[in-house]
Amino acid sequence: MRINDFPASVGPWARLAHDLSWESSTSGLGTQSRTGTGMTRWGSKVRCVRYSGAWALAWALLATPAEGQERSLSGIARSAADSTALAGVAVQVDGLSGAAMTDTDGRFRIGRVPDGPLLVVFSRLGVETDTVRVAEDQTFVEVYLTPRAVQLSGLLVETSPEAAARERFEESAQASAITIDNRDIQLTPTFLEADVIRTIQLLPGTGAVNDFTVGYNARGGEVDQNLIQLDGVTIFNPSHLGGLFSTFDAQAVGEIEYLKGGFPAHYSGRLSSVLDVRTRAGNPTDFGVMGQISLLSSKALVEGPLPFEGSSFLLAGRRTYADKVIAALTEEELPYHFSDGVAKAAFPLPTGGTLAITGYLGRDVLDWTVGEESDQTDPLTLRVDWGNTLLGINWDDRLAGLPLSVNLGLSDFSTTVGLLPSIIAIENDVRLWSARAALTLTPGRSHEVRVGGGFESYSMQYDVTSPALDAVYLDQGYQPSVLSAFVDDLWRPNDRLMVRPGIRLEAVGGGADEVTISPRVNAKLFLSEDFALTGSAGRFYQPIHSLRDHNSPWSFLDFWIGADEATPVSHSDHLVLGFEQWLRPDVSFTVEGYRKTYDDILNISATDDLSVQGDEFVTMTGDSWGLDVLLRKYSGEWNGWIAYTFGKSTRTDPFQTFAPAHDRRHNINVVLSGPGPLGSRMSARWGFGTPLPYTPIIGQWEHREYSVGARGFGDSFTEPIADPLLNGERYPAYSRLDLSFRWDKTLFGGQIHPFVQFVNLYNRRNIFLYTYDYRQNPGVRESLPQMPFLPSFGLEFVF
Amino acid sequence: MSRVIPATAASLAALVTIGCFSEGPTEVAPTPDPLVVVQGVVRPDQDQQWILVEKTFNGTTTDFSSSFVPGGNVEVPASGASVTMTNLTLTTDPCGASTMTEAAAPVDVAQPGVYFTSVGCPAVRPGDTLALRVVLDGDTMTARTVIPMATTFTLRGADTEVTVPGPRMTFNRDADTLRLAVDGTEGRMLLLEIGERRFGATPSFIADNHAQFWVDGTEISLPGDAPNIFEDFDEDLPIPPIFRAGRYYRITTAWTDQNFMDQLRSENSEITGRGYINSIEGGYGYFGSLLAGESTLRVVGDADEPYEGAYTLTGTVDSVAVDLAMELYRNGTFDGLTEVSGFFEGDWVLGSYDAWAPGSLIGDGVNISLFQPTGAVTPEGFDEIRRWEVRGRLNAGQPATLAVVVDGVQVGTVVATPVS
Repeated sequence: MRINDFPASVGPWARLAHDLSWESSTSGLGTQSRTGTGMTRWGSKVRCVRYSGAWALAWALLATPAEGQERSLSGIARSAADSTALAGVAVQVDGLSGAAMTDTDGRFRIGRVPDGPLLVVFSRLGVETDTVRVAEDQTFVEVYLTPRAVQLSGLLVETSPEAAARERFEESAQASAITIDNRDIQLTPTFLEADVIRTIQLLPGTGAVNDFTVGYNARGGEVDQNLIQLDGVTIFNPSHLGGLFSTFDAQAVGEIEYLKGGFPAHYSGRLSSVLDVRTRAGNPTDFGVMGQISLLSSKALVEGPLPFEGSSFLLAGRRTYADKVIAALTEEELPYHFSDGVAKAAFPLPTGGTLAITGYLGRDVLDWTVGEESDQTDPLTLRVDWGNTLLGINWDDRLAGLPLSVNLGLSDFSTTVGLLPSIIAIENDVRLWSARAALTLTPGRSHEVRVGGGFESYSMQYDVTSPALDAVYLDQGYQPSVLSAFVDDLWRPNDRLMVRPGIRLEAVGGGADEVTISPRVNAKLFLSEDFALTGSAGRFYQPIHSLRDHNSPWSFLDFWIGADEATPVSHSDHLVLGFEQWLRPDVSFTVEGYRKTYDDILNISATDDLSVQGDEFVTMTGDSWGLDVLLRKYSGEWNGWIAYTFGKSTRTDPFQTFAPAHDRRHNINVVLSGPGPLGSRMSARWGFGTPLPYTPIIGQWEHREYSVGARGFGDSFTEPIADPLLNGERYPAYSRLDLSFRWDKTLFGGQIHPFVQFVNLYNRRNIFLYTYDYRQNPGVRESLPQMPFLPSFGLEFVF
Repeated sequence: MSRVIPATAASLAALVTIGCFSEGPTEVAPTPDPLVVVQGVVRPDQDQQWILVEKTFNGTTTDFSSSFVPGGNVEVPASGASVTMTNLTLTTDPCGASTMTEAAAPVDVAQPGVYFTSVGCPAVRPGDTLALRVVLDGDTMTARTVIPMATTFTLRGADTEVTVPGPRMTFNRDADTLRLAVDGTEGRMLLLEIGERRFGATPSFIADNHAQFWVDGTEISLPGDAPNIFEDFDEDLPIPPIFRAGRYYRITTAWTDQNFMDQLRSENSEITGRGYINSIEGGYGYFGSLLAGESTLRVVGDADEPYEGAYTLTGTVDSVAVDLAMELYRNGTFDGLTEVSGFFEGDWVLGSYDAWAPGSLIGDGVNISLFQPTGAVTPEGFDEIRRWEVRGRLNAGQPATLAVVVDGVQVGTVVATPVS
């Protein structure tokens, strides 16, 4: 919890909040009613919570002692829409200068306020300003603030992006953090549909090896080193169609926090980055419908109130329909589709807390009848079926007066690949049960301490069987578990410095039986109210790994294995130094340099023995360093960002040191949005990347099939042979320009948003990979391109 | 705004035009140095061991006619290599390091790049370790294999069990599961090859529907109605079965070493060029070994149709008295055409006959093709085969007279008499 003792000093964050409070208080659109108890209110409803004896005692032990006739005042600000906590709300006591600011849990505390009744003003962009009367014996206030819609380019957002970014700048010690919202996602031109991860790939320090993958590399790390969560629950393979689209429906996404390094102690399990995607809560007062029709899929979202006051639901689903269209219009067959759906229910609790339940289900299905049924044989079907199932429960409440957050999760990823019904079946099931809890303490005015822990239990099973042959080709399982505890402290020794040291302990079971200690620290030093030096350092562990060929340009799926007697726990050390400067109220400039080392990271071994567990990988060490630059304009007629990345990475396996496939030296992405023709909102993205490495083919051989019965070689297969020196050559440079145009129209009382997108406008033939034919004289190398020029269009609607 | 639209459109058109013609899809690939590829399988049941030494394609050759090896053309042979094979276990092997040469090949299979040992050398016994050494143009390639050990391959159906090699086993494809087991040691993979014996008397002729199964273990089970996914098929057609009733199948069993299994289970990815488990030090390929056995499966089925079952065929064909026992089975129906096949045993035009023959049935009209080697050799070097078509209508439970036709000319008749 943040304590802002503003009479003594007014920090830049408090001043901005004060400014914002005036700005927002001038444009209220109305309030909604709600019953409160024991308070007086103006404009909206406030709920006061009086301390029970035990809570008061606990609070008295932890809080700063009162002095003289002064008392402290604390509380929490919530959204009246869905009871979720509101961060960045300025809290100003009438008659005092300055303001406190609510933290990420919506909580605030003012150390010294005068005795007697008070008027307290709560304000923030995106909500109605509210003034609350606080009784003379009252020390805690809970206020529900009504969202105030801000119209930006046809999208309803609840706060301005620069306010959120500025809040992060002023209130968070976290380095390497980037906040993006639904607006950024919707306005970034991309292939067919707005996509969360496609937008992430355009940020500095982040990249993808080609157009066909939503996998991303954060600061030189491998794709499986990114922790991707949906409402706090880890999601294993967040992609559809072999990595072409991410699993996140942009319409259902609320906030996104992206930490590309140096993440705090409450995050764990991955070496390189955290992408924390939060599903937005439904509207608790009115029913609403929105949807989108694109060339890829149709999707719909329904939201509205539930019977319990303040509670809401959100249901969103989408399905590709190319299979149906092709079947209806032609005699051809496209036996593939994907579908996904997300549901969220949010409930305010009588205790003042909230309970939110999130579910997600996504499946990709390829169901291809490769042989018809006859009276002698059954039909033969090639079936590839994979997808995620998630269930998450988030409970935010108070325990002994202290903010408590609890997250329970189940994440399952399963794959079936087979010639069915009985020829061959390859089955993989990865399941994670997780429970985490964190408690926030305020042992002093300048400290905000989070303590917590959790337990994660993984189950990963791989089976390759042939029921027809009664044969088991592979039967391997991994059952790692992680028992963890952490503590970190956001310490503000003065107005200029924020330090967030932390430490995390993990006991990895399931065969690895290893205890890891992860010290971490983030710091920010304000040299002026608009300029801060930033830095972070820490150690990070990863007990599970994706078995993929990291040097392949494409990976259909990730196959996860976990630490055991043979499979190590990877670790990485990060060091980040940089600065962030706000050039204007809506323009920030960030520069960060980093260095990362890696130990015991895994690459797939092609020579593993199926009957041996533990030889399916080779271990590698690694090193990455680089520089990220981000110039970002958050609002105005033209907004967007310019992201530049310099990076260099190496990996060392038992045989050689080489550049990994994602080792791009320079990368620049320019994303701009502004007024376009015909009243549209135009967005453009231009990217340029210096060459990525690849391993050339050095010939082809005839792999001859030996016939035992015929005593010789019959059929043969011509196979390429790669250079043993990994990634010794590089593709040409990459560049691509995308454009999109989006219109905002009103129809039948709702809004429709037609959009047109052009991917790779100048049809640059970026190389996806080379194929070789050395059976010709001379040999021929063919360039398989990445995405060509692709126009697409669609329609989004909101009612 | 009116100027924005044409300007935007013109810019888009220009960009697309530039992009479309900026690069070409193919180019001449760099010419890499070729690698030496060694592939060979050592078998104790061969008097002479042989290996194939060739080179990788690197864009400098154009001869790509490939055929069965040994005996067929080798595309990029590596001639003139110094090749030796040594039994490391049998230190008293009088052969010592046996030299393998292209010249040692039997005349009918000699080809550049195919190196043979002399007869009987080196000694190859189950359990022995053999070493291979190939030296070519100053490069040395080495490999080792341990010959697997096994005493018995056992083949089982529902009610019968035979050893391999052993007597012909009858197997009901509609009811039974074929099970193969080996009591092997020092090996790794059990392999089962299945191919139709087309002409009975000439077992070297194997039809296209050749299926191969393997397990990393000592037992294989195969349902009688399993589809043959190894055979080329059209997705709009039913997948052919592995076994059809009324046919003989050659069953080949093998108990192989690790190297053989590794080459069978791995391959280089078309994209990355990696993935193959190479067992040749200094080169590429594999040097494996196996123990093999062979047997014949007589596949029958449930007789559901009135025309299925046993008959005698008696009559005169080409002025020769013929007398065959026929056991006819239906294979399946598609697009109105019913495939049939049957076992034929007895005396036919050119001598004794013990084979299966394919046929078809449209309505109740049957057409069965009988093949018999003439003993001559075609100019292309193949055994000359003569074909008779037996045509007519089968009467359920009653004798029927069938015509025998060669090249559209009737050469005799036979009476098909059902055997109760």
